[in-house]
Amino acid sequence: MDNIVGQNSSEGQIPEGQIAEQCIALVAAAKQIPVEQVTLDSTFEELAVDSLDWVSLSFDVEDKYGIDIPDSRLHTILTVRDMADGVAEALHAKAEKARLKEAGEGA
Amino acid sequence: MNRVVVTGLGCVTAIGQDVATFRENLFAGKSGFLEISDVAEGDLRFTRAARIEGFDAASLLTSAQIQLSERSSQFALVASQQAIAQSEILQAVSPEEMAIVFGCSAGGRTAEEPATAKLYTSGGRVHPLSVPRFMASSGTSLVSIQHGITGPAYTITTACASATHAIGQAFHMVRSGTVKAAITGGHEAPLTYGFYKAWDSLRVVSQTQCRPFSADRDGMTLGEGAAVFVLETLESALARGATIFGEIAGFGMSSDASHITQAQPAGPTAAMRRALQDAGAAPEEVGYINAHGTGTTVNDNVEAEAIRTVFAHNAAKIPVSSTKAMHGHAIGASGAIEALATLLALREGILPVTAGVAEADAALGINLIVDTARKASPRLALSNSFAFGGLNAVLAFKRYEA
Repeated sequence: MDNIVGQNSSEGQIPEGQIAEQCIALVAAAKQIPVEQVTLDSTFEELAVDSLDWVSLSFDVEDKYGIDIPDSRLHTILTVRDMADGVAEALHAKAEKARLKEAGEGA
Repeated sequence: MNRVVVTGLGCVTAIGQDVATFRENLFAGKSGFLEISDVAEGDLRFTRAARIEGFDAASLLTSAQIQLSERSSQFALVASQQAIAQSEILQAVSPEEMAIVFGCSAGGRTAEEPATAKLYTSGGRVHPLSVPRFMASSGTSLVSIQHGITGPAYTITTACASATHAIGQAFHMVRSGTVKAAITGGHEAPLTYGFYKAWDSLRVVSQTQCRPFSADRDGMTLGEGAAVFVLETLESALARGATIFGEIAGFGMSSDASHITQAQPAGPTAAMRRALQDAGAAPEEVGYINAHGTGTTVNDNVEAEAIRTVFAHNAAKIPVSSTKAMHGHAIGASGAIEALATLLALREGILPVTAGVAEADAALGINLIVDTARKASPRLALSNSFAFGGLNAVLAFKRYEA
């Protein structure tokens, strides 16, 4: 158990720059557009990422990082930056949960 | 009332993924049955299905279409592209005045079955695009989206009669002037493990291959595919100089109101009579019947009895064939594939053979076309579809003579 928790915890420490890059790459791949056309400031509207695209993309992102983006947060994400922030928050929440679990198990 | 003609044809079938190839194999009596390769040997009582090999969705559809669809809808998209391109209907009729009516029985089974099996066995998540891929009406929606058709659009599901009901509805809409043109037909991709097993349990699938109306028939052979037609008024087709492949003259429906699987002759009899009545034709005018002819003992007995009732002393004379002997039983798409066979038969004066039948069951009292396709030039033909649950639909087609 310790080992798995440890792995999950380390995933929580992906540098934010890397998350941003990965989000840009995922959006570009989903919309089949060059990565250069996607920036952190791109809005989903500009990129023609509609609600079904985003719900599919979020499914892939959650799978990739082993995270859960809550519904309440999912619907506030309107730009690539929001997406990267959402992923970072979810990773943080995941690491925090793992830390608490580890502490609980240690007690 | 408008006369309704067919000005575009498209298909994806086990005997041809375009109309030219389908036509060649249909008249040559070539069957499209293949060994089932994706189920362990001995797991099913039957070993063959009319499966479509080498369907290359990636070269025919956009990646966005492929992402949103599964095999059944992809058949609908490809067959519709063929029919619409051939007819050039979108250059002539406003998309607001066009309908789409498709038949589909099994829905998006090729996507739904594996996803559900995985969920039930190993848990986890289901992809957000699953619902759009699973919807039985997805083919209709995707064709509407691709071509911008904004008139009435819906999918009919009446098991093995789905496509015939769909074509009949589209025909009536064009005839009455509700719409100026319609894209109609059926699509189905049901050849999944769960579907095979379910049919296996019904004990109606041939352990060899279907031989409709044969003395030694031992059941049906499952298939898949799509056929799509463009319907418009004769007036519109003539005005724009479109090629006319044939005319739809009548449509008849009935319900057995009897049993969920066991067919009864009264329902099919009524449906054939109503199709003739709708066409304003007498039984003596019918020169060919493309039978539902599944190859099961029950269907073929009941259908032959219905033919004897409707056509009386003429029944033994009218040539009958079941083209399921070539393209298999594509469930909700069958009626469309058979409508295509019937249209081609009338247009070319060649009546397709019931392939693989050595000898017709003499007890049935019908004139089954065996051995080879026959030359004949009937003016009127019926295409029968009789579904499980007793839902019957019959189309009457007329050879178009300029």
